[in-house]
Amino acid sequence: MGLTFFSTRQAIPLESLNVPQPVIDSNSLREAALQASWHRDHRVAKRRERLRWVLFWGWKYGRAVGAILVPVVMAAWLAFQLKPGVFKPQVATALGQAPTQAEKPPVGPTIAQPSDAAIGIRLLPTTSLHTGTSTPSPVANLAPLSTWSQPLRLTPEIQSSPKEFSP
Amino acid sequence: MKIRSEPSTTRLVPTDRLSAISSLIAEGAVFDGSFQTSRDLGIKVDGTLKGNISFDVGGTIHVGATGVVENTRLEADYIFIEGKVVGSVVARKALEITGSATLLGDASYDEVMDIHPRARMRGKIEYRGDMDAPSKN
Repeated sequence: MGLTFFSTRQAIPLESLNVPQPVIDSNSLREAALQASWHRDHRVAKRRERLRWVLFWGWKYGRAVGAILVPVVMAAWLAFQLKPGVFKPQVATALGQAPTQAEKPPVGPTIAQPSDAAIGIRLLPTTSLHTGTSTPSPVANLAPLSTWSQPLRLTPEIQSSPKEFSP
Repeated sequence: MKIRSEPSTTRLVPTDRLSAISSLIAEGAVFDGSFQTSRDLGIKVDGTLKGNISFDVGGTIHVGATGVVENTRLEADYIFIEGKVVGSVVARKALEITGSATLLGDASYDEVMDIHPRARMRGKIEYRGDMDAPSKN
């Protein structure tokens, strides 16, 4: 009884096996590998050597530079904090000194106080209580009143006949 | 990107010796064992080597910047170290240690030796030649 083999593989054409394939020259491969290796050596060695130099100089002079720079930076920072006009009043108060001019409250714009005579004229009633007719006020054309107000004052007319003004 | 076509700048080891290196342990590879030959060949180590390298005649050993050689004894005519070597080094002609190198172990040489600035070395250095011989310079 013979054995039968079934294969699903495609048969490789013999022509394709006879085609000569380019083979990389071993010497070229060696040179290419060496060049790539040298390139990597340059990069890694330079980086490592620079780091060693930085560590060397940093250890040698870094402490001295730091000892100089730290007080200078702290002095500059303190000078900025004690700048006149910014933090000086607080410091002066803390030190028990008299407050300076800058600590006083600011003075706002002054409001003109109207004279008593003008106030008396303004507050006179313009409507007669007897007739009910209205007469033009003698101060109608004056400038508008300011926001400042004055309490009502008794005029001589009210004082002389208080009964007329009583309800 | 430009690829440099020459090895690192050397002072003692001839460039043609470095260019003639025929064996390479690539970066990332770990080789555990000894490398020995009686022919004048060269080897460059970019990966990790745990073992000895010995050239009976001639020979060039280049430990690259990424190379690490541990528990070793390196012996060749020219030895150029840019990486890390833990062990003893015997250079029959020239030994050069660059600024990126680290050598933990003894070094001995017969003719010339050069240690670049910032090289790290911990060990004994021995000149194996005749101390009383007049200098060639």
